[in-house]
Order: sequence, then C-alpha cells, then structure tokens
Amino acid sequence: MIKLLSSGLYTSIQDNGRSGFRSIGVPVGGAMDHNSMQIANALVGNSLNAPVIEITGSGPILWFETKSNIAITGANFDLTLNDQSFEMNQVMEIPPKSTLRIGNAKNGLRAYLAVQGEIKVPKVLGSSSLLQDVTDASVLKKGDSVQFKEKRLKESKDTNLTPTSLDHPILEVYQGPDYDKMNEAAQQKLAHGLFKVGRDSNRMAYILEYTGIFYAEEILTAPVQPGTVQLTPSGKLVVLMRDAQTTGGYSRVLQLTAASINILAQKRAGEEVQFKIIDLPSNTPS
Amino acid sequence: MNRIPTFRWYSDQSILLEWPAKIDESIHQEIMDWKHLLEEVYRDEIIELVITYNAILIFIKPEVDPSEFLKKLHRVEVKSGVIPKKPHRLIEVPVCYDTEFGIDLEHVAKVNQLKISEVIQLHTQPIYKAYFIGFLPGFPYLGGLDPRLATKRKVAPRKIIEQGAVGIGGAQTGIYPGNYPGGWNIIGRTPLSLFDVRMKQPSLIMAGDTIRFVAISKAEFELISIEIKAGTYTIENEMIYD
Repeated sequence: MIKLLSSGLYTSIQDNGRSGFRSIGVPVGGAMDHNSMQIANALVGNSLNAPVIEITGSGPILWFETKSNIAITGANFDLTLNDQSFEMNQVMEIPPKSTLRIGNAKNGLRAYLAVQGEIKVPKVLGSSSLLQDVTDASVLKKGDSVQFKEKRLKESKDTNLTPTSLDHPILEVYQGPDYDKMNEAAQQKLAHGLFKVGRDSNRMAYILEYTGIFYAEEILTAPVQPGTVQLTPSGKLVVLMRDAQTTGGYSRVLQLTAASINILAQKRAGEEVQFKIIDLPSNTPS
Repeated sequence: MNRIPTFRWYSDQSILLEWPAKIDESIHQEIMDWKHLLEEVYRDEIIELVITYNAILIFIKPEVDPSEFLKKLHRVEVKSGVIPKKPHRLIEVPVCYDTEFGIDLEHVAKVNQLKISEVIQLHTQPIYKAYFIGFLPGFPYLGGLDPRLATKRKVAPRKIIEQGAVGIGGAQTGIYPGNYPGGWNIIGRTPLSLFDVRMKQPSLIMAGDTIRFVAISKAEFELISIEIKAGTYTIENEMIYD
C-alpha cells in the first residue's frame, strides 16, 4: 500500500485510457506522455498499459507501507528514498515503511511511477484513469492511499521504446481537416512561428502563445481528438490533449502525431515549440 | 439523394468522412446509414465511430493499416433503404419550469417578447432530434428548437450550472449533464440524470433518439427525484419504427 503524505502539484492514476465511449462524449484520457508510461511498466515487467501514478511539476511524498519494486520514467525529477538519492529509469527496490520524496523536475514536466505487480484502482468504463465526472476523484490528494498487489516478476520487458525527448522543440504535425480555412499568411505563420506554452495549459488542452495574430473561422461542431490544434476566430491557438472534449466548433488546423503529443506533454509553461508539417498519406488509393 | 462523403486522414489511426456543413435531416439520415453499415461490416477494424452534424470520425484499431482501410472505404456503397433503419427511442424528459429552477426564464421571455407560459409551451411542443452526443459525457446536441425561443448566450458565463439544468444557447437547446460552467440561459431543470457510469448504457440519450420535454410541477420534481434515488423510476420512452 502506498499513502500520499503530500499531494504534489497534480498527481493522478492513469493508464491508456477508456476507449469505446467517445461517441457518448467521454474522452479517452490516460497518461499524457503515453510513451513514458509504457517504458515505466516495461521496466518493472508489467503489461505496458497497466495503471501508473502520473506526477506533474512538483511531486508528492509517498509512504510505502510494504516493500515493492518500482520504476520512475519521464521528466528528470529530484528523488530521495529515505534521505538517499534515488535513480530514475531503472527498477529500484523500496524497503517496507519507506518514504519516497518526489521533488521538482529539472527539465520536462511529467513522470510516471510504475509499481511491479498490479495497482488496484477500480475500473470505471474499462479504465483506471482518473477523470472529472467519470471517476469519483480527478486527482490524488494528501491522505489518499493506493493499493497494489505485488507480483514477483522476473525481468523487464523488452521493447523498442525510446525515452520521450525532453529537449526537442520541434513537433511533427499533419495538416488538420480545416487547414485550408486559414489564409496563406496564417499558414506561413503557423509553419514558421515560435509558440510558447501558456500557464493555463493542463490535461485538457495546451494554450500556445505567440506574437502577430492570425485566426480562422468557426466551424459547425465537428469531431476532435487529442493532438488536434484548434485556431479560434479571436486568434487563440489551442492543442487538445488527453482529457479534451470529443467535439468542437473551432477550426482544426493541425494534428499532432502520436509521438508529438507525448513530447508536448513534457513541455512546461514558458517553453517554446515549433511545428514541422509532414505529409499525410494520400487520401486516394493508387 | 445519395451523396458520397469526402474521405481524409485525420490522425495516425483515424479517418474522417465529411458531408456538406449544415444541420440537415437528410444528411443526418445518411450519416446514420453509413454508421450502421460501417459498424456492422467493419466491426473487426474499427474501435468506434464519432458522429456530428456532418461528419463521421472512424477510430481504427492499432493493428489495422489505415491505408488498407481507406481503400476498402472507397469501395463502400451506401444506398438508403437497403440497410434496415434501426428503430430509435422517443424519450420523455420531465422538466420543472418553476422560476426557482428556470433562473433565466423571465429573461428569455422578455428578450423574445413572449409570456413565460408561451416560452414553456413553445419549448414543450416540438419533438427534438438528438443528432449526436458530444462536448460533455451524455450531452445531446438537439435539433428542433422553435426559432422564437432562440436567445443569445450570456456574455459572462456562470461559474456553475446545476446538473439537469435545461437551457437555451443561441438557436440550440440542451441539458447540462453535470455541474459545469456555462453561458446558456437556464429555463428549467430535469430530475433525470443524463450520464451515469453505473448504468449499462451510461448515456441516457443516444444519437438518433428523439425527445420531448414534458412540464412537471415542483412536487412532481421532488417525487421523481426520490424515485430515481430509490431506483424505482421508469423513464417514459417508446420505440419508434420508421
């Protein structure tokens, strides 16, 4: 059992989300940096999409009642276990009645703590991911406890996953369904501009700030998904993330690749990104 | 009229089908026909479909090659009448229009130069179609609001609107499925829950359903609320076979 002695900035349980309910307005949700979650699970020998603890910005203080093996991946956080420093990106043994202090990230924003075995969090609509109005809570708070069932697994899983880049400012994107609703000048600005992650960015959406306004008209409410970049008539540029709503009325000008969503999930307020538009495969079969 | 939608890649594992951008009964019917066909024939390739007024977004399973799937889509021919229309439900939604719940009822009446009783009459008269569910879990996009009731959204949205609030936002009407901020004009409240994860079908209203608002008194509102808590309330609905 793990208990939160402090909550950290935004700590929650995430897995790969709940699929199959988008059509009733339920976002898939799940780990913001999906790649780091899978690497953490692979290290401890769990199935890749097993529930993990997602840590944001400033981490929690965790009390481990029983012994366990864990791995923490993602952003570079300061970690101390019982007053000794602790390594990221490898399996570490936690003795019973230990305190793990997760401090601040040196770079990157989110880390993923996988516990060898099974984190036992009730599944709602097929997933343990916390989400407002779907699960009882959307975050873990001080005093909450997380149960897990220890399984002695022999070795880390082999994957060809590479750590999410924390220093790369370039996001590969496709043209979105409403790319042509922008004029030529706006398209140029989007392709060559620098965009700064805004303070109000969260699990639902990242706000991108920039200079030299450009905009696109509203559209009839249409389907959207994580990674969709919306441009509003007032020039607001928004990247929808994991907990975003499933439909929207703003022009969808770009779509992040799956890898780019993970990279953006590690960007903090004030960090800059650029877009690199890559080709979509042809719509017409040869 | 059997339009062929445009197909395009949207993301790594999703394809978007689009029809002309308007709210139109016949387009909606075509979309429902395509939806039923795709769900039936391509059950093994598709995770799920999301529909809106003029589009279908197909989410494809991770092991399926979207290029191959797109080739198959180009060969699909959907003729209306060939696929049997699935029956839909007509759901009665009880609403208490008492001014205690309908905090903007007077405003809506005034702006549209109507009496409050006329607002209620015009709101309860039509049969509304749920074009799709989106925006929030369980939130239905309803078509059919009488144009005489259209009222601009509030300039400054409220921080919290109560679950079950029935509102008008521009030319749309809808029901808030939870406590959320919002700029709609609230004219009443329903004791029904639009979204409940414990139910087999978590969303009360599904795409293609039709609904009718039925005015109830405060006393009936309290009674229905008690019955819902006790699990003894039965929602009035009937199957409509077109």
